[in-house]
Amino acid sequence: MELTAEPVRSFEDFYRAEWPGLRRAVGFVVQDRELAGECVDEAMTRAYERWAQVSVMERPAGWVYRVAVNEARNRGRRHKVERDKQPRGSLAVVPGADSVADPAIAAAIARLPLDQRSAVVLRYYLDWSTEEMAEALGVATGTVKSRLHRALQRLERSLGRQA
Amino acid sequence: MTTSIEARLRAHFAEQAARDDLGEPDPRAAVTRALAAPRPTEQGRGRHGRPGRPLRLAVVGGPAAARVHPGPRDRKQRRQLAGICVEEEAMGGAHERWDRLAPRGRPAGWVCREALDAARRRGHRVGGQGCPPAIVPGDGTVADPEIAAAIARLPLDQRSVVVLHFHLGWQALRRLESTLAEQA
Repeated sequence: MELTAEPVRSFEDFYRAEWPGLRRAVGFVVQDRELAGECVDEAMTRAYERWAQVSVMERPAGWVYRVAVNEARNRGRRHKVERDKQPRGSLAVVPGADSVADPAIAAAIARLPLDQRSAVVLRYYLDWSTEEMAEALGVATGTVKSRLHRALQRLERSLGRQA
Repeated sequence: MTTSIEARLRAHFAEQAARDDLGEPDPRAAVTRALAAPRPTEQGRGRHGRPGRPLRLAVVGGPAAARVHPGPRDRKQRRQLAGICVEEEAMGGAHERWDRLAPRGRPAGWVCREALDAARRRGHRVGGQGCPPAIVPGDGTVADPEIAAAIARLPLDQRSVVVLHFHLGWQALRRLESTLAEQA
């Protein structure tokens, strides 16, 4: 998929277009709705502060995503609740069962390491291309592919065990 | 097998997103935070290589407040920068310029002075006298057109004292009065 530079747009337009998707994506990744809200707000605030630089990036949303997830990581570290270091097989925090679309897959996603979960959410929720993901995560495209591959393998295994 | 997982992931995320009502995006929230929130990470330059206290600068005429780094040491250069910033601010321009500003002492008063200087300079550039003449629309958007017109006819220096005192609540008028009394 070819990366096309988006025309420079106003911060307001960008926010309206990208905020809901980013907010949910970060929520899926950090597994905490409130934390995701705070971190995306923080990232959006920083984007506004340096909008002249951010707006001319290929994918401003990728930048905001990365800042938000880093922020969540840092806060998690500060509060010693590193969700991606949960012991394998522990019950992941999944909100009330009836509010989850697919509890089995939600639990399997929650058990993934954060980097793999991030790759899964960006690909299957936000539908980003490998190149877009690589740029947003600041890693090589090969790294994105291998993270996705390993994530899917892991999901298959953990869903297979449940079945 | 992988394809079915992919489909299941897509369906799960789409359904989950649909169930989570976030409300309307509100860009103003981020803008307000960016302008108002103190940022402990952006600090002034302390002495002897130590970090200084976080700096904030109130922008006259709006709710905006920006954090700033100490900018150029040269006084003239700082004033020029401030003038540019205030002009851009007035036109809804780039806030990041504030990063290079240097408030020393009383930033609000300093910014006000630079704003007026900038306005004066602009007035000079277009060949006007002091400041471009104020236009008072008579379409009901002005609360008191009579007093607005009277204010607009004041010389810039007198007008700025009136605005500082009655709009910003500064003690300028009293100080001016006492200065005048001393001179008399």
